[in-house]
Amino acid sequence: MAGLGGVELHGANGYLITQFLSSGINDRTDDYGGPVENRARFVLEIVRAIRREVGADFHLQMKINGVDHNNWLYPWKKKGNTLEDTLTICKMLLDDGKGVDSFHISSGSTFPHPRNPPGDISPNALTRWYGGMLASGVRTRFNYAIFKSSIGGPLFRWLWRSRRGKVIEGINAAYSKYLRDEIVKIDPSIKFLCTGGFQHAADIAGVIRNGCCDGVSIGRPLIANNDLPQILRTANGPIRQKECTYCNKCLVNDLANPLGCYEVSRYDGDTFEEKWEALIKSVMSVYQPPLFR
Amino acid sequence: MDFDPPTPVERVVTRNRWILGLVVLLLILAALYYLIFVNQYVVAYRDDEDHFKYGSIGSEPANGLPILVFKALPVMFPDGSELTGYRRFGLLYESEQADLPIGVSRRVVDGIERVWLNCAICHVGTYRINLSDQPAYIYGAPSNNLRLYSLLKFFLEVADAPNFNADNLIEAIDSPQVGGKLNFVDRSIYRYLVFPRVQQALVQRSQQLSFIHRQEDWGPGRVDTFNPYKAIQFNFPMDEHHITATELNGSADFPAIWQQRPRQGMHLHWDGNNTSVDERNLSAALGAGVTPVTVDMAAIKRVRAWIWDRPAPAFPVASAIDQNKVERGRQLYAEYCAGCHGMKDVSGHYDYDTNHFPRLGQVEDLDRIGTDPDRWASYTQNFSAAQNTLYAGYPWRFTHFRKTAGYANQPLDGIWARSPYLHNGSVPTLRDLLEPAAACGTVARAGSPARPQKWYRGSDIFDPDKVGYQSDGYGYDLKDLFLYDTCILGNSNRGHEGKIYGTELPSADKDAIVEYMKTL
Repeated sequence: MAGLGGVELHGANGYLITQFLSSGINDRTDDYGGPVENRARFVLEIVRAIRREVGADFHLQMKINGVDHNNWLYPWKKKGNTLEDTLTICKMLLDDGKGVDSFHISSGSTFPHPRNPPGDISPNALTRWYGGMLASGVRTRFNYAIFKSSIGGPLFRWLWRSRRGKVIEGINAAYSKYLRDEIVKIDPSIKFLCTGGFQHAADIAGVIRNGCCDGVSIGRPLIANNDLPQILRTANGPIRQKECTYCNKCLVNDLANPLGCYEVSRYDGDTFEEKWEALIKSVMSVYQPPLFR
Repeated sequence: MDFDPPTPVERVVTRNRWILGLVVLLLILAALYYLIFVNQYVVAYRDDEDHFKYGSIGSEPANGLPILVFKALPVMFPDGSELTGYRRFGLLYESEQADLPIGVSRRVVDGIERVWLNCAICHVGTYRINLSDQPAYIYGAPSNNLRLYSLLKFFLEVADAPNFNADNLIEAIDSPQVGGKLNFVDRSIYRYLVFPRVQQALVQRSQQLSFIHRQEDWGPGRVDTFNPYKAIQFNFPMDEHHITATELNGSADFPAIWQQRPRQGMHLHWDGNNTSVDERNLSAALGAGVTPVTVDMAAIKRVRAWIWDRPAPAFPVASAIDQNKVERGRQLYAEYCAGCHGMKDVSGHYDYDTNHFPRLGQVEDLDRIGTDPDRWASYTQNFSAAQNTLYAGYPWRFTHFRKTAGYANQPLDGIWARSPYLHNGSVPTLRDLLEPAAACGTVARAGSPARPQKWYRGSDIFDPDKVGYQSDGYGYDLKDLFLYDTCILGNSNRGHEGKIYGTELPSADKDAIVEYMKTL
């Protein structure tokens, strides 16, 4: 009735399905916890329930973590699913051809995660906008104290960047390649999407050509440049100043502000005030035209 | 361009954080300042006797030396004897490994541990009966060992010594005898802060006390009570034009300090210049290096309490008392001596009652007592008046000091432990005191015994027959003793002689009196 051509199950990045799938998070002692087959039971039942409703022709895909990296912040936490665990789950989700039609590969069993979305983190921005979260969690006040601290903030930022590693654009390409290679052996019709920092034509074309994936998904670079697909027709990427810098200020700001790019340097203007005006115009443009009169 | 300037709120929060940080830093600095430079730290002794021996009475802040410097000086300036540390000045170390001698206390002032003197430096005596004995300590007895004149001279000479410099000092501190183990920071502190201040202070003292080079050596167990006091407390001019040789050479024996309760109200000090035990205590503390500002009243009060009722020591060789003579001696003593000195009552307790013994604690005119007048001369009217300004502003300000006409009579409790005798310690034993003095320049006639004219001081071997320390050099290398010449200014052994003093009694009677006095 809504006219959708397909749905994606978000089974990645620490949402409900990840909380069943991940060995680092799932501590259930019943049939839905324990070995990987049990952990995947929940999402498998979801897939089968969807199929019962929509039939075999409807496009159904699964977003899944290649690797969890669950212990990115606290070393004493369990590290979560490995690539092998993910492969087992993907095979289960094929469900002998009655399951999902494609996979969307991400990584990181929390949201946000240094690998997702991969980039920087701004303690300044966190200090300004994390306050709304304080009542929503057990450790929020502790987190806020860290962000605000003149020592804790920079330390947290350093940890974030070191856990991410050097690669941003195509950070999950290798996971996608492995999984695609294995799954395509079983069922060549299964398609793979990959996500993680994609912005430049050469990188996107590269991962498609060498079989990492069949297509990529893009988030923040589209916020930075809404017309990115048009730009990529004729250029490798936007001009330097206008590139998405992966600063993740869009992510942090959207705890309290309209979704948009909040990186001042990307905007035109000779002074800070001019750039700021341009930024405000850009992020407030989401309210035009107004929904109500 | 700064792409992320602080918001107005952030500016204020940051500024407030700086202010808070500054305030916290200042508070911490203030606390550190207080803890290091205002507060002083002493070792507290649970035992009153240990407090007397080693407890600080407040001499370190104004006069103390840093402890490592104190220990290093005898190493830097040895005298060739085998005696280590300050033993060569007669200071008493309780064991070979003892850190500091009796009478030297420690206190942390301005973050540096300093040492200086307390009451016990002058008021602990030792004795041995046999040569092979370990010295027995008598706490509260006059020191028979302390060579205070030599000690003072030592510090004054250090001030002027050309090889007293930072390099040698640090080397001595790091030597195994001192074991300082200074690290790089400590060495800099000692070189640039400690050494210059110590040198300056010693030089200043040296100039202040330069008159001691014109004095006769006080000898072991004696002190020039008031001349250094005049110079240090009041900056009296001490040159030849302002002070005569007589006034300059008034050295006296150290006194015993037990049984102070009954002495309250008697004329105290050899010349009876004060009737208040408390004032006398505080004045004596000044002699140890205390100043009215730095005195530790609580510590002094503790010593006061300890000496208030401290019993006099009993004669150490009971078998050496000839009981056959004691009763005869008691009768003679009651007739000739008790009127001025008191005696034990029938129950065996010393009777200090001045109603029973009207001259006890009173001052005898100089020409009546006839003893060496130099000690009396060194205590001048001007000085007495100046003393009564001390501790001004405090409830314990001095008011009782007076110049008297002679010397005061004292109780003779524990008299065996208080040799040598007379105010200037010029007579070695009680038996000698009962003989007349010989005139200087004459030789005593054979068959006419007299008090020894030249004799050796500094021995701690006790003679239980004549009652007093050996004075003929028995058991010692003579060069380790001090030859005391009674014919030198201030040293005269005349006085307290004549019929009423018992010096014309037959010899057997004199022996009996001595036997009785052993029981006091």
